[in-house]
Amino acid sequence: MSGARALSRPARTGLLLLLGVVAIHAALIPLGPGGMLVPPDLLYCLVIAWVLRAPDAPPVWLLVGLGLAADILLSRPIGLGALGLLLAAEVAGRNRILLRGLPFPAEWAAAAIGYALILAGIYAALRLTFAEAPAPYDLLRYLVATALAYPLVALAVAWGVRLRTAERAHPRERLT
Amino acid sequence: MALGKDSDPDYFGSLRRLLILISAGLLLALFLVWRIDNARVEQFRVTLLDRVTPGFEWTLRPVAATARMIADLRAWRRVYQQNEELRREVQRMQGWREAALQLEQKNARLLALNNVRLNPRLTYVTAEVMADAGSPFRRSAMVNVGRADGVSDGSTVVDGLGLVGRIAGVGERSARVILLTDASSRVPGVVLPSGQRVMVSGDNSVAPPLDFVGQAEALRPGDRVVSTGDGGLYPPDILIGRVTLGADGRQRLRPAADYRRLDFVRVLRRAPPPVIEGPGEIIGPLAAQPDLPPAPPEARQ
Repeated sequence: MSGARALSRPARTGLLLLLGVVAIHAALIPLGPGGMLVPPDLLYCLVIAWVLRAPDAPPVWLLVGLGLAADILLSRPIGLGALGLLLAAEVAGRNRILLRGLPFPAEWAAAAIGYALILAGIYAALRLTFAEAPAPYDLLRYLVATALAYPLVALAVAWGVRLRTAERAHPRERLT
Repeated sequence: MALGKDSDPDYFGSLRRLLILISAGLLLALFLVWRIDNARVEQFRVTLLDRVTPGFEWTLRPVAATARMIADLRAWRRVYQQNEELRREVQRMQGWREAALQLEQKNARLLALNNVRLNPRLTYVTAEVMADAGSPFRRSAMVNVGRADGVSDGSTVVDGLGLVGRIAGVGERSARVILLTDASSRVPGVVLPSGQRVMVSGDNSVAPPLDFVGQAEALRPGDRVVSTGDGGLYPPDILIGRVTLGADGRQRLRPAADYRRLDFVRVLRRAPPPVIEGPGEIIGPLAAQPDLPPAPPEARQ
């Protein structure tokens, strides 16, 4: 299906793994611990931008592994972030053809709404289990930072990684 | 849905759906385990961080250093103004230095008169901040000292000026510092001129609010808050910060530690004071009751 210049499936999996590790690692850089800065969730941006552009969905184990690693290393509640990432990637993957047919601002808004739902879910789960939940204001800043980072990550994925051949070669994949 | 591959049979899709369901169940179970046995899972998290972070340190540091250089470059524009400010500050500080020297001599004389023995067990180890928390769920940082350096859970962390937080989670070569501003941080303090006892309760904001204030009207913005040592976790008389009035009208604390430039911190290694339990051997062996039957063998073990 894919052209000669697009990456093969194992290469795509390996590259997503590598970029995912870089995205988790970037959040750990101590630019201002305890300060006002909230790092964006680059892993979410990367996975959603990737899923919308790659010809097939990444393997489940990769999404679960990356999500769990991010939860553990970024001191988030363990399990919930990975679950949110997995579900968001799946929903995005199933609606890929629809989302790719829309202009970019709509895709951007969909990614931001998806992340807002994830954060709301995490917040609700933490409150339901009587765990300490961060202030909604902090989560809002996290959401804003992630939403602002999404176009940059999407641009990097679209231009930097040749996930598929030019879309015009796949008229069937466009809105049918 | 065949996800762009028309030739694939649909059972790949259903297999994937099943996998996702199983994974979702497992992740939910993992979250519950984290809630139920938090201490053990957090220890696992620290152990993993201990393994992972030192391997990445060589990449973390140059990026952080570059970011700091850019921040410093911005400060160049007002270098003249800063110079003037610093000169004025030096003048003021020279006055303070004289006062401090005199006080030090006076203090030394008084201590000699009183024959005071200070606690010699308060030593510290200086650590470098390696990594940030990376998400808004915790206000914490990783430092590059651990159990091998004599750091233990609950050790106090200070920077040059004031309290930074405490150690929560120790690995072999790294440890996690929970900052004062974290939602799980509570530090008992005393406001100095008025002597009011307060609790500095972090809430993930930059300026933690002051709780349990006896007389709120006795506190004025700018008053110093130092730790009391109540509860035995933090040593007494460490500067925490100054009282300030938050935008919401609550009395809050502006930490004395400079969180924006938190690159080196001191971790205090403090042996807990010995707890005296029972009369000990001073009064004599408890052999005054000869009528007691001999202890059963399992009690002696």
